[in-house]
Amino acid sequence: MAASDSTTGRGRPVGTLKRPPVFRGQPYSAIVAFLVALVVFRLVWVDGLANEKQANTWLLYSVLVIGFYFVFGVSGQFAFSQAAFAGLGAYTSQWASKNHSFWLGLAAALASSAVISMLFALLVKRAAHFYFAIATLGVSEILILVFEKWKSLNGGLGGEVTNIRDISIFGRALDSYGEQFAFLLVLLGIVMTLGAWLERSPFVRENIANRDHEVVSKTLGIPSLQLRVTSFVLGSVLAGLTGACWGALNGFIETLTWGVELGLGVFLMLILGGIGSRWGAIVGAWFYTYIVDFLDKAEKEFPSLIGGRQIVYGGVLVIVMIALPDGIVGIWGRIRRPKAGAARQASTPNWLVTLLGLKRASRPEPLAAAETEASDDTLTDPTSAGTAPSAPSAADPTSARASTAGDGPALVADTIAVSFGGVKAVAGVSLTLHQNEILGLIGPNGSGKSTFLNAVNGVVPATGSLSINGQPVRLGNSAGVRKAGLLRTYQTPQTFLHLSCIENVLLSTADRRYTGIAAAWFLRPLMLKHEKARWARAEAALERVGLLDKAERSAAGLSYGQQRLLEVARVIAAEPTIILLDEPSAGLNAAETQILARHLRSLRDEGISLLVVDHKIDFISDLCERVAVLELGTLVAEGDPVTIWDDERVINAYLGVADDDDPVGMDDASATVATAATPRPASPGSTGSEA
Amino acid sequence: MTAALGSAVSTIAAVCEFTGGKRTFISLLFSGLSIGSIAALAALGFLLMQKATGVISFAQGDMITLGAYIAIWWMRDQDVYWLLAYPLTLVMMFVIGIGLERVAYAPLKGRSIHVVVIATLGAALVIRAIIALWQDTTPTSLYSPLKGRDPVKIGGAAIPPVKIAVFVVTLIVVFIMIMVFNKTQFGRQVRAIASDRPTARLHGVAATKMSMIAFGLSTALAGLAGILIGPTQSVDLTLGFGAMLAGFSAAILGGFGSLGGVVIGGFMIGLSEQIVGGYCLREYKSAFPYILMLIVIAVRPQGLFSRGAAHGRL
Repeated sequence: MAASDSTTGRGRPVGTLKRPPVFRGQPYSAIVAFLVALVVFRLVWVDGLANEKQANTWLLYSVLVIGFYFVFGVSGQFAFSQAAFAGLGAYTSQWASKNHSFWLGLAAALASSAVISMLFALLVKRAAHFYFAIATLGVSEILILVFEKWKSLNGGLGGEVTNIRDISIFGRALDSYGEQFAFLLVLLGIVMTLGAWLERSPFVRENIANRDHEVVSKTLGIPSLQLRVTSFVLGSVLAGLTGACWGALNGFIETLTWGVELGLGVFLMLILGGIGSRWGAIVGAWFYTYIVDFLDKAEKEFPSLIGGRQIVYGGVLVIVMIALPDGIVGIWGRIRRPKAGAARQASTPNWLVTLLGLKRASRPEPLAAAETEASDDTLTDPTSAGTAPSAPSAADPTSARASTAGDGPALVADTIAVSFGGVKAVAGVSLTLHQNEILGLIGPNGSGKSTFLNAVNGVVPATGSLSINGQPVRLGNSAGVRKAGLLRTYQTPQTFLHLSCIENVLLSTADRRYTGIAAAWFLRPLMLKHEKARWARAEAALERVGLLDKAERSAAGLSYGQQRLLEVARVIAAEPTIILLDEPSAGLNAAETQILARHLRSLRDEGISLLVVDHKIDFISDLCERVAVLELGTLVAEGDPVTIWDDERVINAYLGVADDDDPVGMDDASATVATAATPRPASPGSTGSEA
Repeated sequence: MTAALGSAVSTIAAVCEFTGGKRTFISLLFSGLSIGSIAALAALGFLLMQKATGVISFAQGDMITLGAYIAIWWMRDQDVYWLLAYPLTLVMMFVIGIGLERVAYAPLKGRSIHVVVIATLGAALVIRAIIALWQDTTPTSLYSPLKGRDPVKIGGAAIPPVKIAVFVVTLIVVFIMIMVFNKTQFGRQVRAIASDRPTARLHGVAATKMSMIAFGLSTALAGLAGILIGPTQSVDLTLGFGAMLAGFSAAILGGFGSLGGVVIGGFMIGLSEQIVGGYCLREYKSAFPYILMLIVIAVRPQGLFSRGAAHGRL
């Protein structure tokens, strides 16, 4: 990092950055330009009934795949059910519009797909990945069976329904392909605009966080299940919409259309076009429409090629996954070198690629390895620039905290126990963190420190009881823990690599009003107002840790040490009353460690209580008023940092034999002994990045 | 609206007919057991592969179809006697499984299991296409020495011997599998890999050999399922897909855990379709396995017979 870089970052007052991403860009003009281009395309290139019909099919597929983009691309849910929900829309719509207008049918289609997809998503809420995929296959089979067999729904011809009512506008039926195209154009425009509004709201950012790291998102207060269900329902409703229009435009439906072939086709379209954007959905739909047509023609021409279609699908799926991980849209992005600020589409490979292990996300080397990074400009000294009273987070949250924090202890953890299989990682630890205190928690590797934090934090199953600021909180309820004002950092930084730094921080802001889908669509002014306030708070937190100049860079571009700082900023922006820090000094040099200590003290001075797990004994001794020592899952000593070292059990825990009470030697010895100690059980904190 | 509600109510009132007495019940029971056997065989294939390689293969369904077609090819096109054709089919399937491992799994080793799953999806489509090119798409039938034999009388019900054979063969295979898993070096090595892959390799388990054998065996199991299911219905390209879904459901019921659990899961799948579906909502009977699966995912995602942590969250 260049020195000039950091001075501009530090020198820039908070609130002068460009507008938040939610306010930026020209999405509406892009949509209008695209629609105009579509009209030109239709008028200039498309002629003949077959081609006209095909253009309409393309637009229908586009709506279907934009829906799937929200399910799979944004929310990361492996669903094979998109086609079946389109079928649901088609069958309900034709049924409801039999004696009424198309619009009643459309309403019925939207309602039925919303209700059934929501019930399904809630039913299988505990299933993830393959289980979810298999469940969506199951629900597709059930739905298709119902389409085929339910005579009151399908008219009794085994799922073949003919003479479906046309779409009519002011009594005028859309019976030519040209009129239908115009209708679909408007429909696509509406869907694109609704999508753009979602992109320009916290909704997509929170979904991405939830997709990449569900456990961590929950501890930041993001309503994980609600987001997943909302995205799934949104996608399924768009499928229902497609189905309703499909039936009305073609006048005919059969069950075969909504089977697994289209379900897989939807996958293919999105992956082919580019999983990272709505435009990818449209491009993928175009390819699919015309490839299907081409293959149909080829099969008619050469009947022996029947089945060749699947070879093409299968081959394309695998080749695209390996050679074109960002799809066709990604090619364009590669030609036009991404801007540094554009975190979502820039240097970081898309999440699916990372998940599939095709390419590693560019998680940087640890700070120790990159020595050039290490100097005190990575950490802003809180005594000089950091806690300027102009920063909104420094002033008002403190007063807010003062009112919430009572007189009693900040955190009381009572007989917390965690076991992995037969191993008791934490065996009944009781620990109290007082208000305005920095409590150190030390112990050799494998003594259960991180597991204890994970238990308190609610990310591993544990027994015992917990109360935060006098309020009892159920163990395992990580959202409740966050609500009570407790936040934490992780041993390995758990940042969201597909988001920019400031988006990472925005995730944790306490004000979660108007972050939902309804606010994004119907209450935009309010949403934008709150988003501005959140943005200012996040900027202040970033400035405090000295990362303001990187606010809009992708978090993947940060060094290891900077990732830690980003986590700290995220915690600060959450306006916590209690912070748990898991080895905050790991990978920091002596100077950086001192600055870290000053930061932590200044947080304490603002009324926050801190629990610090660390291995650097002098850092802990210097920082903490009180130190607790864990060994093999039990608390062996508790006291002030000077006397604790006289305790024989502590010396035994660290050194095995009580020979050496030289504190400098102790520090060195702890490092060596600690590495030789028992292996620590896996904790979400350390394995989250691989999961 | 009211008409629809009314018809729904009257449908519900009329859905269940417990008629036919003992004879119907026994005949449904055997249908259920034979369908459950196929689900169990498919699920055993998943389980074996998943334990040894961590992969759930979407190609398993089309492998079942392929098994049936290879058997048809031996017996119909090559005029090979069934006693010879069956083992030949299984051997071919074993070799094909090893080929699949080489093509769709080995080159992707070291990558996340998700990419392998998508590769198996691609492989499934390719296999289906190859069958279509090789044997064309018109439905055909698979010969069985038991086809057309007189039904066996059990408790007054006439049970086609094909169905009994499916059940008996499955029980034998399951018994052999349990023996192999628990008593042989191969079984111990697979279990070691399943519980901790890197450590197992450090202890000298040849993971490459293991994954080849596992792919081979599970594909041979798919072939066996194809041979058994083929004579009970008409054979076309979609033959294996339903069996694969039933196998998925069985594996989820069993929790991808013990062999026994998965087999019981398979029988529950078959019985829910035949016995529940035999009396209630007959038209929708093929939906019951999925409904059962969804209920299990909702209530007990770790499976009915699996102790310990939930496998539902991967």
